[in-house]
Amino acid sequence: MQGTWRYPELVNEQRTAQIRKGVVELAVLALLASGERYGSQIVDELAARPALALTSGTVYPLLARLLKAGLIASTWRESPVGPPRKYYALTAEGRVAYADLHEAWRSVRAAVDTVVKENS
Amino acid sequence: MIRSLDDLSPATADTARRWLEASVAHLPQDYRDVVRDDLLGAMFAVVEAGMTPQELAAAVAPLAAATVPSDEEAGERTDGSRLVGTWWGIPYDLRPPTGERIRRSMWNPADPHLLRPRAFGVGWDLNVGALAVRLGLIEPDAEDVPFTSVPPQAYRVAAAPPLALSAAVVAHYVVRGRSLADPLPRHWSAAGRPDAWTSKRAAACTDLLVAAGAGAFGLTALSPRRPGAERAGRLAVATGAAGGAAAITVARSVPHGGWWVGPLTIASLAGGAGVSLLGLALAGRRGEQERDLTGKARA
Repeated sequence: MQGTWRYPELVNEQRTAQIRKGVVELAVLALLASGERYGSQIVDELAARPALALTSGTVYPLLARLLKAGLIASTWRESPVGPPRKYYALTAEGRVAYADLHEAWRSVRAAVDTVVKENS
Repeated sequence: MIRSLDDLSPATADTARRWLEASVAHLPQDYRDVVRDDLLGAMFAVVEAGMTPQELAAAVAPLAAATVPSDEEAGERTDGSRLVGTWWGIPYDLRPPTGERIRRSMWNPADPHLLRPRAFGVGWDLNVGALAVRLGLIEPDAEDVPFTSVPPQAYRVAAAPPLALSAAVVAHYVVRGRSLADPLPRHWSAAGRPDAWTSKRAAACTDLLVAAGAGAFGLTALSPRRPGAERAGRLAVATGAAGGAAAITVARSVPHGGWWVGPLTIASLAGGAGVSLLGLALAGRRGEQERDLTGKARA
């Protein structure tokens, strides 16, 4: 464990996927921070942003992980159209995690922007 | 924010290293380095140079959510055992199967992949959960954790088909046993014609043993001490096995077979298990809905 940390040798596609994977959690928490949403609504809102390249196959397992971690909670509600829907909302822990992740994201983005700007 | 673990005191740096290793321990070996590097970068952003080990633990706690395993199976499949792994890209798992592993391979609606590594044996199982989602029969998130909200009576109802099929096989041999031909078919061609034979006694013993075993295995799922996923997995196996035994029993009793032998056997095996899992999942969704909607209506 005392050795040097080496960045894995990834091809561009894998690197992009890794970056995307890290921000998806923040994106979902950000959506829920602005109000509760049901599953397919989250999928649709995120899928509308092609850069995130999200599908239901990414979002639902992530929702399950966030539920398990206690960062979000779910509840069924009657729908004005059609059958009941399961809505997701941030828990108190989730709001703290979102604030922390958001701050971390801002710091990283600012640092990367600066480095890229200074060297381009 | 720090730039290196060397910015921390030795005790805090040691805590950080142990936290990183613990956070990736459950992940497949191939991903550990990647995720560890991601976590290290995230940790540098939230940790300050003067932090104590306790302060560091509190600061990195929110990051742990990202390391909750997406699939417990991932850790299990790379636990160093030679009984589980892949061979030329084909997954195998030779450990004794558990109801929970069977459930994960056959019922994982949040995972859109139709094929998942088989819970026991070589190859893949059909992810009936993904198929049910594609057919619009259930939502990917119908239950927060599959089969945790299934009412007890649903398990009793789900245990009835394997018991009924087992009883039907026993009844068949009791009632028609003497009039059946000897020998009976034990293998069929792709066209469904018998091409190998065995004695009536051996055929009857095999079918009765499988049917009785399936029925008994289904009964073990009625124990409320077992987790819901374990009970669902056991009932799926019991229903599939009892259905398979019943289909083979029927096929043996038709001397010349027919094209329907293969489809009937496959449909009984896979269909029986799939219908059992779908029925329990729908009961679990109804359980969650009643918990949430009935409670609100009363309020």
